[in-house]
Amino acid sequence: MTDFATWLAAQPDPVQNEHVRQQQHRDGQRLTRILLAPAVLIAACFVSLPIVAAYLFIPWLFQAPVLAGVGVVVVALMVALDRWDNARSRSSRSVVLRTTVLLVLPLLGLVASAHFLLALAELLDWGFDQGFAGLTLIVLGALSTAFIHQTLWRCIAGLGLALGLWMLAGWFPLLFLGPLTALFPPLLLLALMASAMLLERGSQTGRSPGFAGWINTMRGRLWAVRDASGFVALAAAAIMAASAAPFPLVFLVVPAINYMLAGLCWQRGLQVFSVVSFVAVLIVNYYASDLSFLLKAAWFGGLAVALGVGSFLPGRLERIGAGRGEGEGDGS
Amino acid sequence: MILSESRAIWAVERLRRAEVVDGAGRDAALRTLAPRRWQRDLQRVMLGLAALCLALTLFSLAAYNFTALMAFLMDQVYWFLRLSSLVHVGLASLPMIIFGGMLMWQARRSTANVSDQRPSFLHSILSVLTMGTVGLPVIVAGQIYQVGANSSGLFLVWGLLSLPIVLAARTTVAWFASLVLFSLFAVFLTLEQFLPTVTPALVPLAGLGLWFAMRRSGPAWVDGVWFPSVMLLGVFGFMLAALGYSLTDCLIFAGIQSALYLVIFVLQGPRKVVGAIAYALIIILVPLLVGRLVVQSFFLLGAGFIAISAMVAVGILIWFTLAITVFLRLRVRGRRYD
Repeated sequence: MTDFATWLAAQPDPVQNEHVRQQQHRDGQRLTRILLAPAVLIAACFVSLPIVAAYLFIPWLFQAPVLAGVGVVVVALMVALDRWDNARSRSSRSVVLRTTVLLVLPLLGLVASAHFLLALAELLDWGFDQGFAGLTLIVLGALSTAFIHQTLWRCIAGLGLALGLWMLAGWFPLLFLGPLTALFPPLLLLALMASAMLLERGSQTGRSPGFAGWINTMRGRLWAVRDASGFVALAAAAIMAASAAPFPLVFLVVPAINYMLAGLCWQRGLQVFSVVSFVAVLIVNYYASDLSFLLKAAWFGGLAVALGVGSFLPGRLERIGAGRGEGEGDGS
Repeated sequence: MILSESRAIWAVERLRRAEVVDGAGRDAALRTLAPRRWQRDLQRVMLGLAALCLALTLFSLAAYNFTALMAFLMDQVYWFLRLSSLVHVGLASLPMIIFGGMLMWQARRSTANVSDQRPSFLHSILSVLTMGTVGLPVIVAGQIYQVGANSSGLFLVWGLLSLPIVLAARTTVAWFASLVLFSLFAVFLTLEQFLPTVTPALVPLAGLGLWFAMRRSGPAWVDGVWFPSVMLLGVFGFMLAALGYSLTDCLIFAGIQSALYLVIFVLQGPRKVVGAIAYALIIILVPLLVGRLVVQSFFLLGAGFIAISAMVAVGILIWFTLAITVFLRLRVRGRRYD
């Protein structure tokens, strides 16, 4: 295995310089963020107090056109901040100001989304509907990822998009297919994760389909959608296993598939979350009240044996592979 | 090892996002930097999960009640009637004895291999499994003798009995498992005895004490960044509950917390992560107290609340700006002294 320093030393100068620049940038930013993140969040809470009070005490503010208007102003502010913090002018900006913008922009995005949702609710006299809320989140997520370039906001919008899909997918089988299809929403999210991964890979290797130009433009957003849908699928599996599913152990399939997909796209964080979700589903099964402990003991025992035996397979496969490689090498 | 590889993967990914490395170049680099890792990772993950499933099997059997399993045997063999309780506890101790034996065998094997100083993955798993199965005889003894013990007593005895294993194994994972057991003891004791909500904060406080006593002479994980940071945030998290108390109690707790964070800040200085976290927690305490007062007065002031809360918001913004400026000044001064 090559060391990272050795690999970097073999790279051309622009790559090395960029790495040094990124390293210095990250070192300076880390401590500033530790201080600024809670500061910005608490300050935002205090700023929101008079705003919420104004909405409560001044009735004409809580009307659809006003809410939508405020939402548009906030979006305009977001776009302006996003353009101010663009890649070209980064080196000349203060770290404190840039970190503040980094944290304020997603907060503004959430405020704008809330305004639009409330305006829509006011306009349509809308009570809570899972499918409609999911669809709104998807549209807001897709639109905002298209206009805002900031990475953090892309992640949040991607999360909103995946969450919306989960809500919509959970609403659909309940309406048409019945509660037996509880596994459907997380599997759909995994399918979205896999397709985002394939499109991203295709755009990098030049093997993308006919709409290659569009995919190249969207490439920066695809990884956010990929990671967010994987993460939401894991959360969905753990939460839905705790609900009244007929047999919660089947939800172990979701983290298992996620682990493999995340391995294919080198996403170690998602792999760690897969293991956490797997453990969460196991614990949920342990506490499932409608199964007898004897049955649980049998299932966990079977699973322990299967996993224990399975753990020797990768090493065995590796040895077989190595043996074949040697065989090919010496001409036998 | 895993962390350093993960850092390398992210460093390469960032270079791709900066568009100095293309997608194919990134994939080639990752194949070189982390070759065939999935096989070893998968093996470890599966082994760990198999151990967890095994523990859950044993606990399911214990929950099913050993008496039901033993009834058949008691009918068959007469002397079980006399020794049944001891046999029950003895049988419940079997998994612990087996895992303990495997741990000792594994420790001997790794001692023979002097070149490898780090505890192996199998060593960590076996030590946690042995610690986990210590609970089985404790639960069964509690069931048989009807000692009237509650959950906190179970976790206390469990934690105390597994301490020798932690001291012998000396792995980070075993220390963490022990911390979890004592935290559960503190949480259940608080619930059962109706103690103040902040009582479980004693566990992270003890962790901070351990860090303070052993940060120079102890193992690397005590002096690292993660352990004291998590303990600090743990204390702060539990102390947030104090905001729900009366104003006097709230102020007393805030004073104690500030003193604790101040000591840590002085010890660590502004240039270390733990010092920065301690400073951040001190400056957060003030707006939290102010926020409590403002929210308390929300229903009293009516429309005037808008003006007052707007003024408070501006005050808080100024407070944070000043605090961050002071911190940056202290950092610059610290660099000069270094």
